[in-house]
Amino acid sequence: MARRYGPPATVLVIAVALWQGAAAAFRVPSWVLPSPSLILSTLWTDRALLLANTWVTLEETLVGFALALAAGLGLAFLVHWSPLAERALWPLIVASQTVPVPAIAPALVIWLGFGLAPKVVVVGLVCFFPIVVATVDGLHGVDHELLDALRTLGASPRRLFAEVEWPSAVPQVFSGVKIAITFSVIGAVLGEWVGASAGLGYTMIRASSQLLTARVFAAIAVLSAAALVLFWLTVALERRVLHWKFRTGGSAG
Amino acid sequence: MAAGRALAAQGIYKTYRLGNEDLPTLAGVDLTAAPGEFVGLIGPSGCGKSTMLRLLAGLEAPDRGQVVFQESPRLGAIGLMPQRDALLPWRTLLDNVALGLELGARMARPDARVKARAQLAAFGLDGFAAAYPGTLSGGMRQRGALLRTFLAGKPATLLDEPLGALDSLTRADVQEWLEAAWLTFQPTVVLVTHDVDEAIFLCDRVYVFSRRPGRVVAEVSVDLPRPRPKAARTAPAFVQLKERLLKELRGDG
Ligand SMILES: Nc1ncnc2c1ncn2[C@@H]1O[C@H](COP(=O)(O)OP(=O)(O)O)[C@@H](O)[C@H]1O
Ligand SMILES: [Mg+2]
Repeated sequence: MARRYGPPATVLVIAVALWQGAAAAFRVPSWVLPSPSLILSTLWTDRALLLANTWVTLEETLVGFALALAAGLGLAFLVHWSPLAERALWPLIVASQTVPVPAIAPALVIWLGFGLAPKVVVVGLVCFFPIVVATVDGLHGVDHELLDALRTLGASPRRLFAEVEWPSAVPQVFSGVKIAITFSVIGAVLGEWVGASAGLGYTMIRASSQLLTARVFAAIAVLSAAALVLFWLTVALERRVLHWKFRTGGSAG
Repeated sequence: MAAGRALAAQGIYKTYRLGNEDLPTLAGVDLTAAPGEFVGLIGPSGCGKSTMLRLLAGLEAPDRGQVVFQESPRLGAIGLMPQRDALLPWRTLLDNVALGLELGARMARPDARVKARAQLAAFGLDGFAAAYPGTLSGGMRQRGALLRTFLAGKPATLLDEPLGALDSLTRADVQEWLEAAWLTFQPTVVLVTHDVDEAIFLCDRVYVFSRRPGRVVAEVSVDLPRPRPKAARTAPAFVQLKERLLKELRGDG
C-alpha cells in the first residue's frame, strides 16, 4: 500500500501545500484562484448541491458507458466475424473519431433536447472507440494453435468463440474499458456544457458565470473522484475476472 | 470411445511459401494406419512431421495427394495433440482435461469433471486439479494435454511429440499408461516422436522420414509382444530394432 500510494500522495500533498502557500503569499483573490482550504470548505458547505448533481452526472455517465460497451462489443464481434463488415465498417469506425465531439454536441441538443439523451450519446461517442479497437485487437491476437487443437476435438465455431477467442480477448477488452471509463465522466460534462438543467458540468457553468470559482473547483474535485472510483471498480472487476492471469504472474495491461 | 478407424495418406505433397521462396515440405508421402494400429513417425527436425499431422487432421489441405478416412469431414473426427500443449490458460488443469470429454463425448461439464478427476492420479496430477496451466511445469501440461486428447475418445488420435517435455523417469511411466489406454480402447494412433526408444516401445510400425522435403525412407515393423514391460528396452530384439532405426535416420540404411 505505502509503496504504491505513497509517492503520488506525497506529490499531491506538496503541490497542494505550495498552492495554499502561494494563494496566501500573493493574496490572489479567491474568485481568480481559490485556495485549497477554501475549496475544501466549499465541498462541505455545498455538499447537498454537489451530491444531487453528482447523481445526475453519474447516471448520464453510466448509461452512456453501458451503451458504448454494448455497441463497442457488438461492432467488434461483427468486424471480427465478417470480412465484409470489416471492410465496410472499419474505416467508418475510425473516421468517426475525427469528428470533434464538442462540435456536434450542440446539434445533439437540437435533435434530442436538454434531457438525458444527448449526454448519453456524447458519453457513448467518447467511450465506444477504445472498446472497439481493444476488442478487435484482442480477438485477432488469439493463439491459433489453441483454436486448431479444439477444432480437431470437434468444437463448433460458437464453442471456439466461447472457449478460446473471447477469453483470450478479455484482457485487451479490459484495457479498452479502463480507457473508456476514464473518458466517460468527461463526456458527460461535455454534454452538460452545451445544454442542461442539472449535473456537475452544469453546476460548473453556473458557478463560473456567478464567479463562484471555489464551487467550480469543488465540482472538478468531485468529478475527478468519481472518475477515479469508476476506474478502481473496473480494476477490481478485472482482477476478479482475470484471476487465472494474476495468479500465474502474467502481466495484465 | 469409438473403435479405431483406418487412416491413410496417398502421394502427399505440400509446399509452403516463405516470402517469395518456395519451401517444399512434403514430397510424396504414402502412409497407412490400420484400424486400431499404433503407428510412429520419426525423422530429422523440420522434415514435415508436424505438417503431416495437420494434413491428416484436416486442418490444412495438401497441394497434391489425398487423405483417406471413413468419416467426413475429418476435421473434428481425428484428435490432434499439438507439439505445444495447447491447454487453455483460463481453464484449470481439471477443466482442461474435462474439455476433452465435453467436446468428444458431448458430456456436460459436471459429469466430465467427475470422470476427468478420476484419471488425474494415474498421471501424477491429482494434487493439481485446481491449478492453472501457467503455474505448471511443461511436463505436467503435456500430461494434461495428452489426457484431454485421449479422453476425447476419437476413432483416430494424432500425437505430436507428446512426451518431449517429460523427464525420462516420468516419460517411461506415461508411456506405459499410454500403451495401457491404447490396449483398452484401441483407437488408431499416429505418434510423432524424436525418441527412437519411445517409437519402438509404443508402436506397431514406424515410418522414418527423410530430411525436408519429407518422404518416407523406411518402414519398420515392431513385432514385440504386448504389453511391453519396461525391461523390454534392453532385450536383444529391441536393441536390434533401435540400431536399424538409427541407421535409417542417419540415411545409410
Ligand atoms: N504455416 C507454415 N508456413 C510456412 N512454413 C511452414 C509452415 N508450417 C511449417 N512450415 C515449414 O515447414 C517445415 C516443416 O515443419 P514441421 O512440419 O513443423 O517439421 P517437424 O515437425 O518435422 O519438425 C519447416 O521448415 C517449417 O518452417
Ligand atoms: Mg514438429
